[in-house]
Amino acid sequence: MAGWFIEVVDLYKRYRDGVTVGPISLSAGRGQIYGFVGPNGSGKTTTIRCMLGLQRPSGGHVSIAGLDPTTQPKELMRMVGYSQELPSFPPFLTGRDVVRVAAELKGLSGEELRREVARVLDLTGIVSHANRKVGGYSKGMLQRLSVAQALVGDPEILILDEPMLGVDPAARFQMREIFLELRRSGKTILFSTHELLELERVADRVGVIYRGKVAVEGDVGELLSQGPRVIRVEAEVMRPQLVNPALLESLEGVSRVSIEGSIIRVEFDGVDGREALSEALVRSGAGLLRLETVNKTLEELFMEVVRRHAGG
Amino acid sequence: MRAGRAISTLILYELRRAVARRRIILLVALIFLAEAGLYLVLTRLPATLTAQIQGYAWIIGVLVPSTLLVHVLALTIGASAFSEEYEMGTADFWLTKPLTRLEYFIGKTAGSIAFTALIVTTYTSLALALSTWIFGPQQRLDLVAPTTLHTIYSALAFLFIGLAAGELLRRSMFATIIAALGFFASLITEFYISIVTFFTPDQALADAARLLPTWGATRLTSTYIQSQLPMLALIPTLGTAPTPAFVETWQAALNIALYTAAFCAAALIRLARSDVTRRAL
Repeated sequence: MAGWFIEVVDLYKRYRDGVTVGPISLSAGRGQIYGFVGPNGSGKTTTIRCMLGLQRPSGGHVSIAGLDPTTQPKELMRMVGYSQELPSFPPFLTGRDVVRVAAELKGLSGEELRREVARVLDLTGIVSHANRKVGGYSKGMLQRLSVAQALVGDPEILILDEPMLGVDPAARFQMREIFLELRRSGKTILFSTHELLELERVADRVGVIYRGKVAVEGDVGELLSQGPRVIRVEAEVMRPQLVNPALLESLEGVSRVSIEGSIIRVEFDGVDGREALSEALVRSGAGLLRLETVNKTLEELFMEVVRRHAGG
Repeated sequence: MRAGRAISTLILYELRRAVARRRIILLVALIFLAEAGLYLVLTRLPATLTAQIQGYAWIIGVLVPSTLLVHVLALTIGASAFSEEYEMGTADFWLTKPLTRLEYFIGKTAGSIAFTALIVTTYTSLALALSTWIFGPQQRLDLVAPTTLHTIYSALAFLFIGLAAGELLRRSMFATIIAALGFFASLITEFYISIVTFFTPDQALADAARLLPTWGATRLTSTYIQSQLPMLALIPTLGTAPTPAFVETWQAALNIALYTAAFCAAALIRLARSDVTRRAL
């Protein structure tokens, strides 16, 4: 366990109404992007707020860069940039004011402050709206502003709660590029999201939280390649009318066959039947053009977790 | 150094926040209107009545808002100082910056006090300007600055009562109502006691009235002026034995200090020890 940059051990939070989140354990290395995924109400935000010292855990331990958020919040916040879920800023301030206030609180002043404010506004693409009052911002612009103020002062760690929520595809692409660039420069990012595709594109490690507990955690690559799994194969043929679906279904381990135009999708459950499928398609005379394996996705992994827990 | 800068950032923010709030601006406008209305009434009074007070007309313009309106303004400012940040969801923004909760508390509180001081200074200046314009040169202007300071100090009790209500309840409107109810309940109780003690002199009851939060807050400025200008009988005395004005000034100051300290501690403990409330979605 030693060596983790962000480490949460058996963290739990008991609310007055009896609802308990956790115990949750997660860990991320320095310079990694950690994706935190789970359905609404699963405890992601509670965990993040405990990590930031906004809420006091009822038990367990949090360590970020060796600092405890409960006893060393000020030292920790010098290293952390945070963007909250459904960001909210004083409506009478402009976007530039918000970023400037964040920069002042990070200890910047004078020319350095002005440069930093201009840098993050430009980086997050809100410079053209920076002089407008925040009260008139759209959801997407608020998200960008939230990420902008989190980036102020070039923090070592970024903790972002649903940063992609309400963001248009162009901004999403831009944010993804920012995250990847930050990782290249050695920053550590922990973010929660519902956007599994985004997570798969950028995350090094992932934690799937379900009903207040981390159900699965690990490196993305490892998680997607391990265990009894579904192998999904996609083939393209010249003459799909010659393909006999019943024949494909009879192959060993096949759990699902679908044909859409010239594309044939076959799922094998725990068996690597790619060789047999290729042979069957060649023999049918359909004219195999290509055959490739479609990797298991995080979405499938997530649904596996949900099914496993829902089924008891 | 950083803590000082963070606190000054919060003070400036708090001033901007107060100016942006309709409830506060409405109250400030009401104070200025009351001020203007007061002088309008004074100009309508027979000259024989106003002849004696002409040189001290500025005092009337200072005392009228200081006894009631400034406390309602202070408790309204205090009640929203922390609670609105929870309601808007902006407490997260502040408390995830390199800032301790104590620094956050100091910055927000100092900002609230600064705004109250600004309003008191402005209406005092308005009183001076109007009284000079209407009644000519004013006397004892050496008392303007200390009177202003006494009024600002007197506003602290209900500012902190409002602040504690806001931090405990974390709902600005609810906190304003509760703090205002406290203010008017105390005022009515004090009035009731003054009537009872007028007819049946009862020193114990009169002393009990001195424990009410409005007792110090609403009379500090007037007792101070009375101690400096004994010929002006500004305050009806409570109970049997009238207390010298300078003693009453100190008692009022002590009363304010105790309420300020108690509610400041309650708000600070609540802020330091509890979770940051999430915005109701």
